[in-house]
Amino acid sequence: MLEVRLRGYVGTLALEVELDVAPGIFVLVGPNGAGKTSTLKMLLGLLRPASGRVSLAGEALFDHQRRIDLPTEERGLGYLPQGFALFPHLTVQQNVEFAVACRAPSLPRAARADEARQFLRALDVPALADRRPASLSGGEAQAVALARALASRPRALLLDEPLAALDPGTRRRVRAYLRERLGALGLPTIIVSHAPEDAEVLADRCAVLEQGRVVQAGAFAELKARPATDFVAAFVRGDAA
Amino acid sequence: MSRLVFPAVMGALATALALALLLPLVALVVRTGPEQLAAGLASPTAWAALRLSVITTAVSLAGVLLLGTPLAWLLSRSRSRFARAVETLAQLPIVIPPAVAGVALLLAWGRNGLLAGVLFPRDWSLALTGGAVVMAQVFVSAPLYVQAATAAFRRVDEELLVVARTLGAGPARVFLRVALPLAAPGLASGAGLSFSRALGEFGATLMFAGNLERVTQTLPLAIYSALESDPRVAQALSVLLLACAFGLLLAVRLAQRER
Repeated sequence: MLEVRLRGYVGTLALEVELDVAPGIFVLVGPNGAGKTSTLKMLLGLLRPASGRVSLAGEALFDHQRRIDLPTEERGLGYLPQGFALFPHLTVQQNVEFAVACRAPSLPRAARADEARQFLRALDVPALADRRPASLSGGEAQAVALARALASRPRALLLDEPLAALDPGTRRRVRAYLRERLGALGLPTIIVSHAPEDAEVLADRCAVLEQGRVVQAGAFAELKARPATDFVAAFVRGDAA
Repeated sequence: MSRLVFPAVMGALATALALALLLPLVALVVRTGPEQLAAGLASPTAWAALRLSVITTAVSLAGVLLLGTPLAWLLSRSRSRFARAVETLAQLPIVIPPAVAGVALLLAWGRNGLLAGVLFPRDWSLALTGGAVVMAQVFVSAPLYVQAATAAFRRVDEELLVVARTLGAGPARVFLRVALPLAAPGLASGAGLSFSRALGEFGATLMFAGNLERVTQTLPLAIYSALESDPRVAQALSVLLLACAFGLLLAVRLAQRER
């Protein structure tokens, strides 16, 4: 379980987020500027909250009262940013090997390469091993970025607008792909999106963020059937994205 | 007719400056025939100066890279006012006159300099030694490298560094395996500019290290001395330095194109 209790400021936006993310897919939706990406950055330790607590499987990653603030590299959170951020100077294989090397620096080179290939096979992209990131399509880049994130054996996953860079046709296909792949992992996974249809297809549970605050959380069907505010009602209809 | 005036004026002005820049270089090459080149390069002074220049410039470049790269990295990562102030001050040696640089170096490292009593034996001075040549070269050339390297590190996509950290990479791995390779073409450009500046350094070296043959007389100083005693040597060494500068410029351009 990823437990999030955060209070902080990002510019003039006051962020107050409380989430409980069980293994499965949790979609955090809201319009641009609602604080979705800032929430992810606070979880990753890139932005410092003013107060609160973040714990993963009972271990505190951040606790303002106990003065715990683990650096990003020790939080065990896998991250897929919007542009996927594949290392352009490395091949696909080397990108995934990078993650393996960070987790197991004493692993011999051959074993490292083998393990990287396993992750590429698991995501159905072993044929891309020798390609450079610049030559990949959006969908291919996402699969490789996911393989790389999983190679670090994270305890939770954070995805920032994973479908925003894709055309509508690819988006539908990748949505189904993410639903299947991420659902099978059994990890607490937070997907941030401005599109309510992402929550509808992907989410086991979701939350709507407005002006830095979670206004309602639950299953998407529940938010649609019984919206707590006009904003939630408009958002799940697709009027407020 | 009026539509031709503007391009004609721009063309004429541009040609005038291009000629002003190229003419001295062309004159140097054209007026230095093979006989003069051979006679000049046969001079023992020439080879001693060339050897000293190569050694001191290599040592100063090594120092600039070793110390300048961490400085550039830290400046590129920091948004503090202190870092901005350091970045501005670090560029001062580029704009101050070489004579001022020479005086400043004497006052810092000379026999009665600020740090002389702390770092060196009482009756010893860094001035007028090979070490002084290196110090002068580092002082004038390091800012060029730091400026280029800082810009190169800033161009590295921040998101790549963030992702590297989320994969478990510590600060050293993020720097060595992500930032450094991606910034490498920019760092190489900066190193080329720094090297050529150090190679051509004259004023600060003359004032701080002196012009002692085989001890502190680098190529530019040898040219200056030879101008009065044997102009053939001065011409030959000038063509040599010009060839080095041209080669470095070519290397910098190629490194930039790779980017």
